[in-house]
Amino acid sequence: MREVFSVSTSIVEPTARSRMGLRHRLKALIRHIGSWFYIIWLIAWREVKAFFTSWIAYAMLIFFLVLCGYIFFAIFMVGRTSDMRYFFWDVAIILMFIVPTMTMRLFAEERRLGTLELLLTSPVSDWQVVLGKFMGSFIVLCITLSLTLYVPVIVKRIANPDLGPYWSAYIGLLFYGAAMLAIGAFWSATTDNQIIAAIATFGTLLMLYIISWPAEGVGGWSELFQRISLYHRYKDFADGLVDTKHIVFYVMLTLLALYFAVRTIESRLWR
Amino acid sequence: MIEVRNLTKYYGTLKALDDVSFTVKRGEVIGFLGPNGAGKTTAMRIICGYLSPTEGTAKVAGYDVIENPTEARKFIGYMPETVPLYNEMTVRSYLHYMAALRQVPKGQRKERVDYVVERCGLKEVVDNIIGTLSKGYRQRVGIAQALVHDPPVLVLDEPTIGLDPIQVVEVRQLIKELGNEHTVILSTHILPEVSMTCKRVLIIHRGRIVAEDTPDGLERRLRRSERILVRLLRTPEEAVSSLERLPNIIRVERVRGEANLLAIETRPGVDMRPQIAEHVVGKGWGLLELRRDEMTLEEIFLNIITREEVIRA
Amino acid sequence: MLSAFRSIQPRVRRWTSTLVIFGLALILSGITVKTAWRHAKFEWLWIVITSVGVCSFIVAFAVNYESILSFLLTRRGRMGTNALISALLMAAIVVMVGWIGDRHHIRLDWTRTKRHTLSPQTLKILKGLKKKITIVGFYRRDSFEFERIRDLLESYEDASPNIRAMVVDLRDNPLLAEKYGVTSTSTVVFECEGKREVVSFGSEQEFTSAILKLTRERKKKIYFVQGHGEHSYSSYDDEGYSRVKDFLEKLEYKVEGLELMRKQQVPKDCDVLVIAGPQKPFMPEEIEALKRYLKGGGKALIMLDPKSADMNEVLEEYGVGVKSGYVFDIVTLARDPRVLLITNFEHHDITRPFMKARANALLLAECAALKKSEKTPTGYTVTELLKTTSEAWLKMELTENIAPTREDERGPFTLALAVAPSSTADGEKKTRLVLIGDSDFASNQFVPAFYNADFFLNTINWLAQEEELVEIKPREEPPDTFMPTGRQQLFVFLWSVIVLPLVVLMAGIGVWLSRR
Repeated sequence: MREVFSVSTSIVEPTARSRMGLRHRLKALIRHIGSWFYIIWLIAWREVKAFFTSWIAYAMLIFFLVLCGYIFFAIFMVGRTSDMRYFFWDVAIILMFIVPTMTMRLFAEERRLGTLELLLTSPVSDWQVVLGKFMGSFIVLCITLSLTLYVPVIVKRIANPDLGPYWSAYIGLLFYGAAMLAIGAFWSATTDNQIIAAIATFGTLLMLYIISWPAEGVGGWSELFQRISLYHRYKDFADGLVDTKHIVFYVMLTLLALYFAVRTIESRLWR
Repeated sequence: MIEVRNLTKYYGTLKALDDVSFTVKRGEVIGFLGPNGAGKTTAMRIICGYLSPTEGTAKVAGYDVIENPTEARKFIGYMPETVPLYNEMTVRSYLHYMAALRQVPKGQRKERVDYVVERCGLKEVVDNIIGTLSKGYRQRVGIAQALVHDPPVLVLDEPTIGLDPIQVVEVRQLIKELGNEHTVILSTHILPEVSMTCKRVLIIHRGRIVAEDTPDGLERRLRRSERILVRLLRTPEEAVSSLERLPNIIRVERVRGEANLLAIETRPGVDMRPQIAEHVVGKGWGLLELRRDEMTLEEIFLNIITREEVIRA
Repeated sequence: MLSAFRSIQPRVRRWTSTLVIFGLALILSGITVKTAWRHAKFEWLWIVITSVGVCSFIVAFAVNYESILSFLLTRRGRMGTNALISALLMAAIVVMVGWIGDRHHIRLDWTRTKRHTLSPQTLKILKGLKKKITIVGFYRRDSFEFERIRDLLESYEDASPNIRAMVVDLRDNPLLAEKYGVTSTSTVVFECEGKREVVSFGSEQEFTSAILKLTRERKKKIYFVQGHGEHSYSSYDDEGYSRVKDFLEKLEYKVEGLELMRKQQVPKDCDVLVIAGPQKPFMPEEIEALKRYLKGGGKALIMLDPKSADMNEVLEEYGVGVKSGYVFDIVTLARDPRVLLITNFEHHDITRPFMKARANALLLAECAALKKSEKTPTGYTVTELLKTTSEAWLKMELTENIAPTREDERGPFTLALAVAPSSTADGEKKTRLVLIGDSDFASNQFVPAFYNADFFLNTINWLAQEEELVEIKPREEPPDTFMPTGRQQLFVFLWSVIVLPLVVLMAGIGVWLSRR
């Protein structure tokens, strides 16, 4: 039985490999890539399931939904406008508070339980682990955001909204959220204490939020600060603008944070 | 199967492993023996690819654990010292997850999980949530996850720690059985465990391998003298000195707390039992018992370590 | 030299950590001085501070080079440096990609009214911009305008590499305000080669026109012929053309009237001559003047109504003319059958934006049908711009009964024509002529309707050879107004604040129960 595994999982005889045609090699490559992402999916899905077994998930969701719901009600029914720009700006602020709860456990909890050791001694690369965890938290984010989809539905029913900015806001929230999650994942990778991870994440996000406040001056620092402000860039999306420069920024920030998370996980090897 | 060469590992300035080399052949069960903090866990973590050595190499099935970590890890089932379990999962889903993570083909996963559940005696708790399991079951789930992808090599770090005596016996029995099919490395600071389960022992102390042999061989090699115990009916004062006069006898002394038990140390390699029996019978002291005294691993272990200490000093 | 170094090396080595901290502090303060404390007299200061810091770093490294080298040779050193360098490299790549992404980006405007998109007109003007323009907006940071103006000016910046724009708060930047001579807020200053334009409380139209003003070498002149009962370009009543005049002036044209009778000739500086529905016939001298003007490469827009003066003598040289009679069509505004809705555009530079935007509705009142002679004059192309449907009919007299009869001529009729030199013709002939069978569509009464203003302005722009201005303005949409009923309010509140969170709570309890 053992023989069956070792052959099927990895080792193909070199002579056999050279005999394979291009098509077979391509197929093997696709299978290889497929299994690479399958592992990521496995880790991600376990993460989602684990998250939704903890009470923190529900506390977070209820907090989020009540606040969003109230703001929505205030803007839509009291403010009597179908322009949900301010609603989506506020959603982004609330996200800043709940993202740490989504990411704090990712690595910190596993490190505390020792399961990280298990994961990292499995035939899985550090990138797969980090991407899997990140994907897991991203799925949680998607689920959370999808619970606010009643907003366009209700507005469409009652008023005559311009729905374009709604969808661009959701796209913005996904990219903006992904960047925040990656930062959270990084902090979680540095410690075995969830609370520290959450506080550090929130601190970083807050800093990246307020950094654009004193920034309306001319030239130099202020311009730089605006450029790296997470929230400032998001505002455009809620305004109905989908700008590739913001998307590039968020994707790059996400990649960088995940890269540092991988490096942090990997640093056990040489520290 | 496992080839370790000149492993050295520093944690900061602390030297956890110092030039450790050994090989483990297919189907062998070897034990790392040593006090806490000797470097057993470090060595195992390096073999499993969790840590990297400061210097030296480790290979599993020909794959270097640093250069080729993913390949090397496919051959290993590892159970760390703190049993790593996701408390919110059920035993079954946990084992399924681990099997998938270790790339057991989809069609065979259920079969493998059922097999290890059976093998590790987890049948009654298979649908329970891990967080609610007792220590013994948790330990067994830990072993089950190491086994689930049927790895050629099993690395078990302190598999019996914190178990009650009955559970210890069960787990040891399990390991012994596993030794028939897998190459097993286990670490322990409890001596009988090694002699009971392992075919070979590595004694690690302060990051160095200070001895390596079979449990029997170790005893034999390290025995500087042989000891014979004699129980007599009567033990007159002159018995000690009269026995000491026999050839090849180093020392004779009364065993403390036992009235008529004498311990006779003889030169190694010569069996003095016939002469002693003849002598005692001749004197008419009444021979009740005559046997060779087996030196325990504990004594050997202490012996080695103290000798090591002397050398260092 | 080396031995001297060797002798002091161990003594200096004791100060390593001090040197490193000192160096780091100096480099940081140097950068701070460079960016935060700009003082003309101490421009050199930051260089001195930073270089002293770097030196102390170098010394710290030099005295420790043996141990540093040997550390680097261990696996830890190797992997650590490797990780550090690749992290820096990664950061550099990310910053670079981000930087490139910032410069080369695509902006998609998902709003229905294209709120964030500059009008095609502005974009065309900015694309053709060859001079560098600096734009500084002074707005209160706490005002809602601030963000709006900054976004707007940012899109100006994005549209042309020659524009640099910023928006600042007047109170924070008194020096800048003084430099541009700005004393009140909500002001935008445009500067180009020392010339300045100031726009207060402006929006896109004003800003673009300021840019036009700065970059135009010469104001183009438009003459409206007067004296034959034409629409007056300065009159504010329904028949007047004052609205059109305002539009033209925003586009930086100079508008003047021309009493052709008195002058006997069209002025040399005339770029476009407009004849808007003359009711009294032209004198022969005037006709001659017009002919001379057109022959000499003039550009003219001639709008004639059914009862207008006969100008066929001028027109026939260019192969066009006016039929007598009134055009009626089945596509009309219900109230007045003389008012036509035109939906048929033919391909031409003037009409292209309408076809592109599918903005194909134009209101003409009391139209004359135009004709095209069999023989087009050599060197010219005649293009039809607007047409009625084939159901249209022509009435000779305007009577009570306007229903089509058998003897009425049937459409389609041409309502607008453009004459331009063929592309193959030599450069001598530059004459451009547009003939429209109606002059009321551009009057104050009708010009706000549909795309009338756009059509008129595009025609002028095309005649004035300002092709980049030939575009249409997007329509503004009124804000969404609705009155929620009490039940709707209650429903929204209950659902979003109470029911949905409660559902999540139930789900949580469900999960908890199932796991017990």
